[in-house]
Order: sequence, then structure tokens, then C-alpha cells
Amino acid sequence: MNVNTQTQNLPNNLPSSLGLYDNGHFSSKIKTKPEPVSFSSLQTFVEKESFLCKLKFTDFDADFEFEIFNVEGSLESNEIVLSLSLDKQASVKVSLEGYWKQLKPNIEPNFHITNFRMKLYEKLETPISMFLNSTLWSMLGLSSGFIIEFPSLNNYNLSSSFEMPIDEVSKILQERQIAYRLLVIESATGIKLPFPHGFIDGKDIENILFCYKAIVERNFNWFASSTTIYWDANEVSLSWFPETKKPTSVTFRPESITKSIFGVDVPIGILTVKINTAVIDNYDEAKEKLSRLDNESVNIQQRSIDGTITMISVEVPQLPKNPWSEKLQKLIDLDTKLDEKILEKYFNLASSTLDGLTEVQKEEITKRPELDEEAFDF
Amino acid sequence: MPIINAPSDTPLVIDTDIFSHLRNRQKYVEENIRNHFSNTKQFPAITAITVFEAIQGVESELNKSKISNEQADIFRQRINELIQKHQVLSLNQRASEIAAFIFPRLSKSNRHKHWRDMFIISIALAHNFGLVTQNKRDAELIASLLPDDMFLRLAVWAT
Repeated sequence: MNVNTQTQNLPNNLPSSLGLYDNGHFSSKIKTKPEPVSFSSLQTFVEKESFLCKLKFTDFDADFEFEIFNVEGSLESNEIVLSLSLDKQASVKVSLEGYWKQLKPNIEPNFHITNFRMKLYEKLETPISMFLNSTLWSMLGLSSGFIIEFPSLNNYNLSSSFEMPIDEVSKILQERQIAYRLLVIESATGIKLPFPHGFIDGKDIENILFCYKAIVERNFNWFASSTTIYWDANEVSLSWFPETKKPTSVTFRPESITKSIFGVDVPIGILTVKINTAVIDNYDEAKEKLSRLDNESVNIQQRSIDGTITMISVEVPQLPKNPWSEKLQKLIDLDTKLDEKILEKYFNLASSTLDGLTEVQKEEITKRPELDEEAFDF
Repeated sequence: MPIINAPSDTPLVIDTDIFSHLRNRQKYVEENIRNHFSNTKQFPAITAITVFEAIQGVESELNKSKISNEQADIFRQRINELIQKHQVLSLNQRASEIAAFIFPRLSKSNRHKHWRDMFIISIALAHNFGLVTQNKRDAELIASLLPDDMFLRLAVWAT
């Protein structure tokens, strides 16, 4: 049996090609510069087997810790390039641009930083990689500043900030939300899911949302102007069939539901469909076929008069208690703060369109245009 | 009535009144946008009709010499910057077809009152968006004239 609940009709409006941070370097404004670093210190730093770089976001009270796995730089170059790995889920290239300056003869030259850039080098097509990446880049885009610190390089650190348009950050937050929902589905079902780069189909977004709601909300409303179910003609099916064709509240018998997410079948479990005001458009035909009790598949065309159905999870896996590491939980908990930051910028931008006007002027400038009544005289 | 309450995850388009109230920092709009953003991580969309209405507000004031050219430049720039942050839904062929169905079914006085909202609703439907309005009655009037198989997903944000 198959319950077709694929009717949410969400627009395909998630541009998953978050090009800005995928393809571009982010140039940041350096707010406080570190003390110049000597070449020998840099050499010692490079020769160490394992060393870290910390990104501290004071606005969010959160840090990211990267492992530095490659450093490129020489006295002939005006750039030191660091390759960083974030929990082996993403690679970031940090470029420190500047110049070497020798103050006195016999004293080794020091590197003076003038510019700082970051670029996403590689991310894996997994929910956890996408979640970490989108969290990092949304924080970069929304924080008023951050500190980058190299503890084993004489505590070399600088503070910086990025400018990122809020509509771009909103796309990154959409990606982060999808990645989180996929993590929830993975954790509850035990099924590993991909998160492919590139355009995300609206159907995938819809199926992710359906599975996520079934796991987390358990009972949820779903948009469905019409729903088709297929029942085998037998006594059990007949007993579940409504007695009247008048609009009525109908709870259909529990069905096993499988959704496809990025080409992976996810058997989400057993759910019931409840329609508060249901009509069966082919009532007579369906009842007659079910009454034959011949185990043939019968197509039942049901419709919700108010356009919604309620999905009720009967046997759907649940999220385990404490499913995330402490570190990951801390990043998940940033959701509200990220929303607050972006919306503050959005509301300020919206109100700037009326800045400096009196209340009367505001009313005038936002007054809706009128056409003469004769304009519609046809 | 071919109207359903827009489920919380529905991408929404705001009508021009709500857009104006957003620009006026009305708390009820900000509160509802917070809820919407929490569910969808999207700012609400606007329609091409709202873009027209918002920009013509500036041009109208300039035309009546109530603001100077310099002021008009500043307001144009600010409103354009705000518009750019939104997904702007166009009056495409589908939207035009829906509007063409509704328009002749409106009375002459209702055409005069509701022509802008009729286009906004048609655009919302054509792009599969839910509509946010303050005025449920007007939306119901227009939605009551929709073809039988069409539902308007509606969210009413009120003060």
C-alpha cells in the first residue's frame, strides 16, 4: 500500500549553490594587527607536527578549532597560506598577506600582515560537513568580529570581520537547517544520507521536512488538496472504509511510508493520515471494488475540503537522548542567536527606507496608488 | 472557501500593507517574521506589485514636490537595497491567467478597491507561495472567485 503525501508543493526556491562562500575568497577587515612574527618563529611553527588555529566568535560565545595541516610561505613571498581542517569535515585556506621587513642588519626579518583572506577549500557531501560549514560561514557573516589565534605561534592573533549580504547569509542558514534535519533523520533511522552540492530539488526538501516532522513533531499538519491511496480489496480494508460519502472526519489505517531523500529510500515508519473534512471523490466505485474482496489493488481518491491533512506517527523512530557531542550541541544551540543577528540587520535595513521622515511623510510615501473608478469601467 | 491556513513551513509572500508596516518597524510584523524565519530561514518574499507600489511612493512624492531630487535619490537607493534582499515574485504567465480569471468576476467597485490585491494573490498562487495579509476579508473575497481546484494558503498577521 502506498499513501501519497507528496502534495506540499513547496516552491523550488532553495538555491543550494551558495556561490559566495563556495567560490570566492572572503577578504576581511583587520581590526587589530598582531605583533610582527619572525621567520625563525614561523619555521619552528611549521616544523611542529600538530598545531592548531582557533577562530573565536565573541558575539556567539563560541570557538572553532582547526588543525593546520599545511603552511606555505617563504621570505620571497608576500603571503603565508595556511591549510586548515575542521574535524576532517571541511578544509579552509587562510591567507595572511603582508611583507617582510628587516629593521636592522643581522636581525632577521619580521612578517607584517596587511590583509587576511579565507576561502572554503573543500567540504564533504555529508550532512555533518554541510552543517559545520554553514554554521561557520553564517557566523562569519553575522558576527561583528572574530579573533583568529595561533596558540603555538607565540599566541599570534588578530581580530577581523567580514561583510556578507544578509540574503546570502539567509541562504547559508537554509542550508544549515536542511543539514540539521538530515542529521536528525540519520540519527533516528540509522541511515546515512548524502547532502550533494548543487541545486536541491523541491521534492527532496519536502521529503526531508516530512521525515523530520514525523520524527520530531510526531503529529503534524501537511498540505494535501488531494491524496491517493491504494488498498487491497479485503475485509480489513473494507472495515476501514468510511460508511458515508458525505464530508466527514476520516482516520485511515496506519501505513508504512518511505520517502526518497537525494536518491536514498528512507522507510520512515508507520503513520496514519487523518482528514478532518474528507470526501472520497470515487466513493461508489472504490466501495464496489473493495467489496469484491479479491485482493486486487483499489485506487481511492480522497480529498480534504480544507486542503490539509494531519499525519500521525504510529511507529516512527525517535531521536535518541543526547544524540550529539557537546561540541556539536553547542553549535546546534546557536540557531536562535543566528536568527536574532540576521533579523536585526534586516529590520534595520527595512526601517532605513523611511529614516528622517515625519509620521505624516511616512504615511504619504507608503500610501497605495489609486486609479480612477473609470479605469475599471469595462 | 478555497483558503487554508498556511502551515508554518510555507514560504510566504507579504502584501504591500505588511511590507509598509515592516518599513515602519511595527512590532507585530517583526514578531511574525521572527517566527517565519525560525521555520524557513527565509525572509518573506514580495511581489512585483509591491515593488511598484513602494517605488511609486517615492516618485509620487517627488512629482508633488514634497521631497527634493536629492532626497528622492536617497530613498530610491534605500528601497532598492531592501528590495534586493527579497525574492521578488513576478507577474508571470500563470499569475496573469489567474488574475484574468478573477478580474471579470469582481464587481466594478471591487475591481477599483482590490485590483492590486488581486494581482498579489494571483502571483502568490502562481509561485506556490502562501500569502500574508492583515485583511482576511479582502483575501477571502478574492479567493472566493478562484477556480475550484485552487487553494490560497493564507496567513493573517494582525496587530
